[in-house]
Amino acid sequence: MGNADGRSNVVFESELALQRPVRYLGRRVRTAADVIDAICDHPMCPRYIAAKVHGYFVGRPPSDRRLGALTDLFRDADLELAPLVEAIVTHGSFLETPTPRPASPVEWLLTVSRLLEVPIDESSFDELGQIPFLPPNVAGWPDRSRWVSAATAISKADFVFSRMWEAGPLSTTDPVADVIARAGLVAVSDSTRRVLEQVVDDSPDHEMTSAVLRAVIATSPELSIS
Amino acid sequence: MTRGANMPRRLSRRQFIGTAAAAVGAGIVGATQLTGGRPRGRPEGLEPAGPPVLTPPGTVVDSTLPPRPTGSDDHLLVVLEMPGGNDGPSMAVPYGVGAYYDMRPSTAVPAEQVLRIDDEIGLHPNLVNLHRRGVTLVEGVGSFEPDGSHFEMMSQWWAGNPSGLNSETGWVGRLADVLQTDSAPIQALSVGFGNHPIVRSAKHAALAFSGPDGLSILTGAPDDYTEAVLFQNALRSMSSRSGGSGVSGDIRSTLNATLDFADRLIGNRPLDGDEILARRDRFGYSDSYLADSLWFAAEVLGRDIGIRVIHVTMDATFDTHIEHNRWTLESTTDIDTNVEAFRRDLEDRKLAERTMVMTMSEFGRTPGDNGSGGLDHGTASTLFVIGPGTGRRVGRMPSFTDLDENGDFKANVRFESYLAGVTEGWLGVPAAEVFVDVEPLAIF
Repeated sequence: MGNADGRSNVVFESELALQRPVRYLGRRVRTAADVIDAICDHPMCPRYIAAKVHGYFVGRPPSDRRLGALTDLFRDADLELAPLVEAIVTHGSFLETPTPRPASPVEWLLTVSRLLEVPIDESSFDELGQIPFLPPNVAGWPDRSRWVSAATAISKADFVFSRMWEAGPLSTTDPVADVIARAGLVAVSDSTRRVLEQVVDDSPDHEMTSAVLRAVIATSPELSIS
Repeated sequence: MTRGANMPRRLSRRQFIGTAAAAVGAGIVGATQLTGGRPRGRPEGLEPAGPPVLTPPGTVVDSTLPPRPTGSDDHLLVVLEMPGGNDGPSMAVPYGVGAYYDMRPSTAVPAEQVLRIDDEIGLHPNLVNLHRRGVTLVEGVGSFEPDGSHFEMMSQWWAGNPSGLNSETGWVGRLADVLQTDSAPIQALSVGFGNHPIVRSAKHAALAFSGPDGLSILTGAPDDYTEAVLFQNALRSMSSRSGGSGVSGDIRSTLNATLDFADRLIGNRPLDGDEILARRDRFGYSDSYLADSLWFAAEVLGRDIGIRVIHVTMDATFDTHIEHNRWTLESTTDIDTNVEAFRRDLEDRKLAERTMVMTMSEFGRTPGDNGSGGLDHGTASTLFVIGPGTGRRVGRMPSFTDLDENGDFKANVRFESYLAGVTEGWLGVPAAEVFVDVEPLAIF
């Protein structure tokens, strides 16, 4: 495969492709479909994926017993992801003791675009440094600690400040409660609440209050955590 | 095994908009930024070669070179990363070696085009300014246990040791921790996105910083720019000096370090868009990502806030499985133009005698063409050290005929020795304070 058109479209270049079968994971493969079959049929595949998906949602690896149950479920579902994900997110381990982790830019952007009432487009992902389906290398996205950095703090501040006027005014009676709700948060820390209240006190008019509150909650630690 | 050139990393050009000028206006346009994307690599687990014998560095001492600068307390270092696997022989061309032409019918640089250094080696024809000023070639640098995987080898180079992906710190981060002082808590920057592994450290003396865009959002708003003042006050209140616990604590303390750094950098003197564009023009920076990064590095060093090491990553194609010649023309032009502009910028700022530039890349490429106009993942490569007094050959060129069992070059210099050779030789930081069990290469 190549990308001869210089963009993100995948193009099949037959003259560069492998023509003869090779051995891969104990089977003869020739086409991409053969390779995918070899991977999916591998006995370790369901367990490996189940563990990864659990780690992604719950934030920590599953116990052996839990992993065994998820593996069986996933295999019985013929490697369909929806039943696996449903089993993970409806389980106590996900609902009761979630492990806070840095939000990835894509996760942050989904929440913040709704909060600011702005559309998401390719340049938004570009600004935040995470374009879906374009990880830095074949290993995929690096661990989440990458997203806690000066660079991402700046890019988030930059992103929200230029867009904070787009949405309409917040509630006049309780703009702080309104912006917290619009950010999809149930509650915020005392320190963040004080910061939001200070903005209301210091701001000269309601329109500016609404804009700055949105920008501040978007860049709060609460919204940087998944 | 299919092959493909890496995806083009640039989805949108970054335009530097004079942020200070725009900030006073109706609103700041958020400049789009480039991804710090790495090229795609196919992990091809190579059999490790046997460790080659480490020979003493061969130096060609030219008595007409300017004397080496003494003293290292005020020395500065720029680390120029070429991601994807830079082919040493395409930049430092062994035109005197017959096997080079035998093995590379499609990708060898014609001998008559080479900018000669001695009877054996010269530079790619596009490296005109490097040739004129002199560059030190560090030859045969690589891993003694080579691996063909981009992310495995990148992580080893970033960590500065073979534990790579398992390392919690990067060598630039550890170096920054050693250099850190109370008055200069941030010693190093990586210009790009995210928390680059090369700057990770225990004492957080290094920051991963994106660039000038957005700096004036963080700090320094004039009093009458009310919404910016409100926002900046809120950011400051949400940051924390004390760290706090867990992810929230990390986020707050990173925000604090970011705001402090922004304050120090532009607090007294905002960036002036017109002045910046004029300087870029005057010194001959192009409009590439490298140009943006080096311009910014010069500005940071010029503002003298204690930063001593800056790591920048090029956005150019080095993973040349196909179209090697075309990509090499572009990358060599990018390097020569912008390193020259950077040096002229530094001269204007009276920093040139203090600043050394070093290149790095995760591996080299195959000794021979791959039959599709390209070169595949390799092992040892040639790296450049550019600055006052450079113009030697150090290390030893790998043989084109005595190859390892995979048909790749055998490295003569461990990559950690090269890194330590620069940090100890130029910054005066003993190798043992940053690296483990490494003999620093004598480079200067």
